[in-house]
Amino acid sequence: MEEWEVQHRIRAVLRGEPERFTPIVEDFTPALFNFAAKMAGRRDDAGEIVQETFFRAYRDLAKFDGRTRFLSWLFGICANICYDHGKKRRRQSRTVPVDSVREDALSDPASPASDRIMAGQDERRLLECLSGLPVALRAAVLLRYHEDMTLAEVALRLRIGLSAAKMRIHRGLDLLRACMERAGGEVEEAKV
Amino acid sequence: MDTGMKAIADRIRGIHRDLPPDDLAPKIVAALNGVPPPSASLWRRLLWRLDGPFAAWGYRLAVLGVLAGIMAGIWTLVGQRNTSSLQGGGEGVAQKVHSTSQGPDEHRVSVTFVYYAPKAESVALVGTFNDWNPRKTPMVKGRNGTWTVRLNLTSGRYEYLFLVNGRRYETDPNAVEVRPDGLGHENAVLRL
Repeated sequence: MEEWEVQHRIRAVLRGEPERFTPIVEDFTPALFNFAAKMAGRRDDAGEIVQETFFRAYRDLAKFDGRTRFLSWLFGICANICYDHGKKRRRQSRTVPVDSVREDALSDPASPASDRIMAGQDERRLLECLSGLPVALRAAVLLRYHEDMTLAEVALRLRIGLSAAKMRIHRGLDLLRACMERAGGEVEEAKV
Repeated sequence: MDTGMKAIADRIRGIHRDLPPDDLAPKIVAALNGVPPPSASLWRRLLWRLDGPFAAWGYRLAVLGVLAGIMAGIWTLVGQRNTSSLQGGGEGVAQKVHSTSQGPDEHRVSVTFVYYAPKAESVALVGTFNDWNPRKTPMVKGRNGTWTVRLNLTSGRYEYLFLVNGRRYETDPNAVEVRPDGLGHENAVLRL
């Protein structure tokens, strides 16, 4: 859904047509679910987080000023909920469930079986390392690279300054690299 | 960012995306049905109309017409005020205005005394018409730092001063005529 259409729908909702919110939920649920699953480290919790995200967004819809992408605003709300969720889960084990392993990589017939297994193991290691990051760093890294936000958007949505956003991303990547090296995964050079 | 960190960033971009269960979006929509619908403020709706589609041109023109009317009204009021009284300068600049309107008694003339003192806490008019009593003729402060008071005076000769903050006597700097008071000060003179 184009951004202009999203904003048009939001105005309609705020003018008393709540049913116009339904396509927004349908359209943005996959992106939020993916982000929530990565943040929480568990698919099982992602649904609940997404539901809470939409509930808060709908309740505070009049506060959305329309100056940024609506999805970016939703990510900000979702990240806050994930912070709270992370606090609850802090004492629990930080393991990544098997269902987060890249199944498409394992089943891709175009690549050799050994490569597919390696790719799956590599992603699993990366997800384990991600879920081991402090939640503030995890959110910054995921928003920047997995959700392809600009630095300014990351800063805005996490309610931090630009330099703090840079610092979190840099620190997050640094920790991830160290974690991957410890786990035995070689960090290949990027194809820039 | 070094190459190792770039490699990590690229890997994060390539992590598989978790897909939500099919029933998640409908479940969220159903849950939102029980939430009171949000609504925008009247002011925000007005702003929306102003940047709405072309269909709202009539509305825009109407709003612009109202705004133009308000501006014209303000312009007229300011213009009248300028022609009748103020051409202010810095603090202490004052003017007295002889109103053209006559009272029921032809011998009485309405006179507006004006004193520009935006930082003053109080200004009173004292003179021969009120026995130099500082309590009898307090002046009223306007929005632009101008103090005014209107008196109906009979024809004759008057001497006056402005008493600022109850302590400092100021001579009207724009008085046509002044008279030394014998104590090193000058009183403004008004002849009607």
